[in-house]
Amino acid sequence: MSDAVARWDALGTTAGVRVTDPAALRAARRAVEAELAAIDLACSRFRTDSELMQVNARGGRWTTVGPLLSEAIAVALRGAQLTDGLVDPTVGSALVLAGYDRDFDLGLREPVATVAVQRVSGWRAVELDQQHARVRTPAGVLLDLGATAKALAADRAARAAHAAAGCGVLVNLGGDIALAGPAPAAGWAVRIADDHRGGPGQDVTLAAGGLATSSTTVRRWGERSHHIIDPETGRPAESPWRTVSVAAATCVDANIASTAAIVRGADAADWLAARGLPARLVGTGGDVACVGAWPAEVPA
Amino acid sequence: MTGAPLDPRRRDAMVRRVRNAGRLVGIGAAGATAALSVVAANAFKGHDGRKARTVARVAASRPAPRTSVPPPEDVPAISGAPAPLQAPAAPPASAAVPQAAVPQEAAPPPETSGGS
Repeated sequence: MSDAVARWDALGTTAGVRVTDPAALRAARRAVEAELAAIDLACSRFRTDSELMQVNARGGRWTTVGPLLSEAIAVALRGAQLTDGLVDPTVGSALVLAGYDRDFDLGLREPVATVAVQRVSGWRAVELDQQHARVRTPAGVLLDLGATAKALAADRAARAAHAAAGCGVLVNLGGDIALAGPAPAAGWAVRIADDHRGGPGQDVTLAAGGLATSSTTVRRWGERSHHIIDPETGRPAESPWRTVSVAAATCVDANIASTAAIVRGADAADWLAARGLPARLVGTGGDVACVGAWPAEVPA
Repeated sequence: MTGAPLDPRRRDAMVRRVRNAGRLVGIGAAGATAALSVVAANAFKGHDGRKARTVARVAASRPAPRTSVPPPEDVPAISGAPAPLQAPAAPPASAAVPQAAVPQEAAPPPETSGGS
């Protein structure tokens, strides 16, 4: 029996859910859509009614937040701590300065005037009081959870879809992949590419966990700008890697590692290997490096 | 045509009357201006002068707004070390090369993981 798939646009990218039981596809999709709607309302940087916008508008003051945004911020802070700040949720202002001040689909431009380098304030300035469900950031600091919230949404959506459908589920949010339930006998077939919309790459199969790919080749604007900010400079990262894919126990962990690898640069492969994470790194010239248990490419 | 010469006393009396009439017109105009100003000032609801002075005093008594950023020592430390990044239970495997004898047209295309 073949699996079944549904795709649609969500969170400014493409959403997809794949199930091992085609009869359960509708239930799985409904569960995924509900999770995505909730995460968008909690974490969007472009919706005036989102909880995150309220937090960003109330810099310097405590803001009560719901459990989902609280979880998303906690996940982002964990990512920052595990990467020594390479994946930092306080890059919101730097993204705005770089021109990413609206939904990407509306079109972005590099700032006309020269923008002074701004060092990101740093994740340690974010105060999260989970006991009282509130958060406070210094005035002027804008949180952006784009790096981890999408991966969190994939993990949550996969679990919810598996619970609703009762079969094996794969959720794909713009290349962030989360699995739940039993995989097909041959595993889930996944192509690893620069762009989640397709293109040449490596074909692999997954049986469990999550997979994320970070790339500087997509979501670009102007001549040099892209969405992965180096917190040290406050500017789009200048990395020897154009695309990094990482497999991990969860999509969140995979995303944290792949984003950190892009920012980390030359020693990213060693950093990933030290953590036992299978990874595939593509240099700006197209050279490929496989880390750990990542399978070597099979010549076509 | 010329008339009889005007009596000087009568002429002076006429000049005084004209001068007094001019004074009365001036006084009347000033009074009317004042009266109309009052009417105009009360014709529309505007800022209350007394209230404006109160606001100005309050504003002047407040310190200039400042942006305070909590110093690092005020930020509570995250309790405990976070859970480390975890490897998957099974790493990715190479996809099997499709067999020519197996029909592929029914299978949906594979998922793609790439940048977005």
